[in-house]
Amino acid sequence: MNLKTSNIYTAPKGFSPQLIDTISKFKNEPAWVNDFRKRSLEVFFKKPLPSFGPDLSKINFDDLSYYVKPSPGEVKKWQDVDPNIGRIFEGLGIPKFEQEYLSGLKTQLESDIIYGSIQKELLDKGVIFCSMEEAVKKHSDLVKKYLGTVVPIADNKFSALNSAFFSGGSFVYVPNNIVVDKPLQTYFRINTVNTGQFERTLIIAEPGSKVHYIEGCTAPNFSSANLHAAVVEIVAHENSQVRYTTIQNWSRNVYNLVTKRAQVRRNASLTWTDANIGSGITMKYPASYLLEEGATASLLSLAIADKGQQIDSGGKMLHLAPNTHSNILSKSVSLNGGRASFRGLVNIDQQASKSSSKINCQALLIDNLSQTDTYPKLVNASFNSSLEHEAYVSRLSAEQMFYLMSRGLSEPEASSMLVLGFLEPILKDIPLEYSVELNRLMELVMADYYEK
Amino acid sequence: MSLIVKNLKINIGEKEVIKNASFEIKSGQITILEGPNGSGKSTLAWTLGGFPDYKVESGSVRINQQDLLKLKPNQIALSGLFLSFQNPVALPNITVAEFLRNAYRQLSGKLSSLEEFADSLEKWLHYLKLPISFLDRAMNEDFSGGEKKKLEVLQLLLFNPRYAILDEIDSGLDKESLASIAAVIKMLARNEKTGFLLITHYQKFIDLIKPQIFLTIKNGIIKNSNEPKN
Repeated sequence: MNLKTSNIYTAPKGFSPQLIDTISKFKNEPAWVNDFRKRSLEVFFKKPLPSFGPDLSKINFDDLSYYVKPSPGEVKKWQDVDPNIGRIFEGLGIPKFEQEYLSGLKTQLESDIIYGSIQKELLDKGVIFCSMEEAVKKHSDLVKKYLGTVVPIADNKFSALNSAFFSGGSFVYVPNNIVVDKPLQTYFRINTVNTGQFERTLIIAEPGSKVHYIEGCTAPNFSSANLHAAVVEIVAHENSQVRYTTIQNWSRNVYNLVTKRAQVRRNASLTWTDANIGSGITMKYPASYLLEEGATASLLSLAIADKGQQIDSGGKMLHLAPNTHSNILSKSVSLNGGRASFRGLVNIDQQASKSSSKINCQALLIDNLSQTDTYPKLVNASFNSSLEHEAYVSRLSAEQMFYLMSRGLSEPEASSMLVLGFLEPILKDIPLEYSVELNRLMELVMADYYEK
Repeated sequence: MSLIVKNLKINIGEKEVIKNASFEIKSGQITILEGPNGSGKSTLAWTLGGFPDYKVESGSVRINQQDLLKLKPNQIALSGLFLSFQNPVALPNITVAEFLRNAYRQLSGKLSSLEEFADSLEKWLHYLKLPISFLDRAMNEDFSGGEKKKLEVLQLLLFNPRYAILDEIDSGLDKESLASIAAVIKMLARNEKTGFLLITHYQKFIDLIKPQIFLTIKNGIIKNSNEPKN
């Protein structure tokens, strides 16, 4: 292996006035992007940490490196990988080359051929699917028109941080009435350059178009950087249908603080599927702004909080026009002292007449050490709209466990069957290859649980 | 060959539910256990199946030399004892097919025989007058009383255990189904040498079965009563 360390650039820790210029220079990006970054950094300094949710006071912003230029030749030693993660890889039966990539041993995979053929199919339809780096250069006007319009720089401290240092992430543009049949997938499966500490994704679905975007993978994704602050912006124009699926499984050292938001226009529909399995602390509340009549949105939220994990997730539905409809289904599993919190905001505005929203929030506690909370904030200002909220907490039933075990299933087998049954209404909407892996992952989690 | 229960004493919390139970379930024979509601019949059945919340104060339960009381419910099932529940619990979002496949894999120990499994599954569904679409339903969810019992009998037929405790398998069934389930029990006892303990107080069912041995339970004590009542 030919190692050329000169290819790698890691910015010095902390902020410096020149840092943004350095990044812009490395990326060779237009001046407006440089300006956008600089404005964002100023906002970041002014913004306080969130006043709710998990404790973030341990994040030392001066001890972080804000830009790493990835090098395809970068190699670390297999021994550097958390042995726990290695063992899980084995259990999942992930191919060696994917294991190496996911462990951070390799930063790129040789999947360019698949990527290339899909790119041609998309190109023929006029669909743009590329990295954000490429987009700001090749499709500068489009990006400039939308970037920061869905998630404003000043939305929160971490959206400002992302706006200042974004690197990686995808740009998707689907022209009028174009249907993209196959899901667009990031990470190792197709796109090879999209992981990053401050990913930025922008999806534009023009009127009448249809697209499904999937990010993530079910295998634990090892990251040496312990702060991930991504931003996802989606514009779903008239009559378009957009699905966004996330399966997040960062290693346990990671703070995963993500802002995701969609504008949903007339008669358009938006579906978020948000599965959070990894990370130490996650704060993520995908939001749908139902801006015009007939817009609909749904959110399927899945969280698994194991030992030492705090998954603070949920979503927001803002009804700002008549006949808008939204639906939230949240399912969480807490075990080994993990904590899963659901935070839901639904606001039906005065002008959003004849609208409806349903929230159903279900938590499963595996043991007495674990915790679950629900923080609903629900406002219905429209006299002829409806808003329903249901929440319940359950435990693994001794009777159900006994029934399954009396049919020969061991404790891990019986419990993972029950947990998967509990999660089924969400799993059935996750593409098969991912849900199969999620099933295996859950079996491993439960096997571990009973082993201790 | 038999499953031998000796001087068994069971508590639920502080309450003594079974004060003394000694009996045998013999291979190829059908034993009836009768007794009023709340007399501890189901507690006894669940304890023999290994339910961890019931406390065995003393006594033993053995198949050959193996003490079942030391085993977990799945190990008890693997050593050949099948327990059919009076009110089988619903398992939301777990389909009958998925459940049966998993249980069969455990209890038959044969991974390769899925084809054979599918064949016998089809045969027994037909026998019990259950449609194939039954397999796609969630376990015991919105089942009629009769459907729940038929699913238990279906498992009995598929898993072919050495011993079976059937807790009020006769309730919620129409006349025809009652007769075919009685026929299944007699057939298994005769052909497969399955040892049965039937918990029931339904005379019509007892008449169909023509059992060999009668046990009664009263005030937590199990007695052998060879005289079948008429």
